[in-house]
Amino acid sequence: MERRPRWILTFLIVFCLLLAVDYFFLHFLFPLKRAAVMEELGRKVEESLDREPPDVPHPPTPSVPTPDAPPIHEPSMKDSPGAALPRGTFREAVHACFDGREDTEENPTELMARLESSRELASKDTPIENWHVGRPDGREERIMLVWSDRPNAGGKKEVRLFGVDAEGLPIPRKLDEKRAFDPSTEYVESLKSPGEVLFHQRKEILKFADGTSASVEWVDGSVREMQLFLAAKTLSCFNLDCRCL
Amino acid sequence: MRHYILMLFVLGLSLSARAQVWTETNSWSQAWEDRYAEWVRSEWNVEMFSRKTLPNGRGNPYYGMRADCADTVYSMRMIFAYENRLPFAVLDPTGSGRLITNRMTRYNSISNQSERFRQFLWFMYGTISTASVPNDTFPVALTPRFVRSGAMILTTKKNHHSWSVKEILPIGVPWLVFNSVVSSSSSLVLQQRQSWPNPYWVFEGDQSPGGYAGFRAFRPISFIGQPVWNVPGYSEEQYNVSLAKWQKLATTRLAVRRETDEQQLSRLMNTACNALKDRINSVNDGLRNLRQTSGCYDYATYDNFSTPNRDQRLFDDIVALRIAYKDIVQVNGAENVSRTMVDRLNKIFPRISSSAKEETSSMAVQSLDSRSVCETTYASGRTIDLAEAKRRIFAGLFSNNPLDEIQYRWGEARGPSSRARACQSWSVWTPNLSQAN
Repeated sequence: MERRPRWILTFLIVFCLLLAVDYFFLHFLFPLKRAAVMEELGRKVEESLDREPPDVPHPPTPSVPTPDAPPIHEPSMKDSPGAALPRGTFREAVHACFDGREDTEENPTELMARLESSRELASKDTPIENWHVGRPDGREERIMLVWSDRPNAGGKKEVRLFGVDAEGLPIPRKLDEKRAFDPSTEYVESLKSPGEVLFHQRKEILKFADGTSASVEWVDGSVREMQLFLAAKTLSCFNLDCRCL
Repeated sequence: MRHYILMLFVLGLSLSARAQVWTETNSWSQAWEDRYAEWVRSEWNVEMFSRKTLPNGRGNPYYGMRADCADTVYSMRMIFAYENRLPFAVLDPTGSGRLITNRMTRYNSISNQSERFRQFLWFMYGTISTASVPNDTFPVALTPRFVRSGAMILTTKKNHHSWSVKEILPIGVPWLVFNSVVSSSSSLVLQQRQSWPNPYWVFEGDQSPGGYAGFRAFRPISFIGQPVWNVPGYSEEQYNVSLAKWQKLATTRLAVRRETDEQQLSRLMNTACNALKDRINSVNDGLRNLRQTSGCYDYATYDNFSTPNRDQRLFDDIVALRIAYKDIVQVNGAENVSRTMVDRLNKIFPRISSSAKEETSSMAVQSLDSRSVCETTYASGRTIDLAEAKRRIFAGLFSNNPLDEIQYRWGEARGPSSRARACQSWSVWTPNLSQAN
């Protein structure tokens, strides 16, 4: 009769120990390891950029994701628009799509920026835009400005706010419905503070007056993915892996 | 010793149970894709979230889920994956670059698996949207290999809608299951139609791959996060077909047999009838709210209870019936159509050879009689047939304004009401009769 409390107590102690170890790994060791890996990755990328010529013919295809894989696109990787970048297959693809009529010394970011400023824009839409904000207390929150799915929204947007869980996945947070639908710029800006914007993603649909159109994903000011729909061909780029289809 | 073994066993169980929303024991293959298509064809239906019990007598684990159009499309894939222990993944739409999968551990504290899945569904509904659909799907060629049960149709942002494809009927026409956000008090029953949505509406404003509209299929998980043009089966074909020929081409490509004139007219009549009856719940939601409030609405409330898109779809369905009947009359004088059907159609379209505008201006009020079809009671003592509904909607009498009372919403009188006139209104829909010729 007296032994039962003891084994239950042992059970509880072992269970608590397991939880503590679990917590230690999840919240301390894994983030430290991830930071170290990212630092190492960044160094390797810089080294390889120094070693390799700017126009690498075939950059590696993006890795195949599995459900548990780490981020497919590392959101905090920043490319500065003006920096010297390898052109990958961009030059060949642009040459094929424009029959040699476009400047192949650019990269996708420069090309899109120039097209936007030099061609007459018929319309420009942003279906979705995300900001990741680092709060002063160390938490991360995400703000999404997205086309509303209300039946009669007619292109109006809504803003959504998310926390982030230990797996890096969003936790929807409630916002005042009336302010969140068709939000003012001031309201969206107010959600970003206090804190620092760590990551900015914007998807755009551009229609030019000459009938061509483009679908572009910008990350921190650089084009990550784009499709430029020309009269008979499509210039498609994922980072610098481009092709003319 | 026995107790310690038992303790380790329990601990082991508890650690393995914290694994995920559900544990996948199968993996996607062509055979599973075929089973998915077959499941959608046979099991996916408008009562998915509204029936309390399943045909086998057990409780419906999805009862009470209130899904909008994008949620409905995603649910089709999620539920099949869950029920068959297959992996499920979408790209996190908040831009983390991660996948949201069945392996997420957030709901591990919920021991009941079915409740865990419901919480996952709610989470997904609050996170995904029509704007995230392009991340997880790809445009396909208009062929039976890709356009089949389990696919979807997306519109451009102008009309912002999506339909799940329950089945492509042997006559090459889609059977679509879909939903729209209404209010928390509206019906849980999804909507359906057996006809093409108007291609001009689907691709309105942007018939390019960048508009994301048209038929799309779910990406294999290994292609989520990859360039869409790398997905096997990616095709821009549907963007290169003129909208005037789009529906005819798609029907020809997908049909395994041709329907008779009578069958076509009967199907289109049923579709229009369903759209008319579906309108009742939406309008009633608006009327209920109108009675409980006073003064004007802000945009969000107005938008919740107005019906411009629904009225446009009802109008499109009646237009499709008119155009089909007119074509048949011109081709063979409707000689293969039964007398009963011709009588019914002539009641709805009394001057089929004239323009829709001329027909509308000369059409008299239609009362119920032996030629009536689709008798619809929208309120106590107020019943109309399809002919009268057509007269009213073609004449612009149906009001989509949620500030209007019932007589205006259903076109007994021309609005706006005094309350509607005193308030701001948005997205006022009016019929474009030139589309009906």
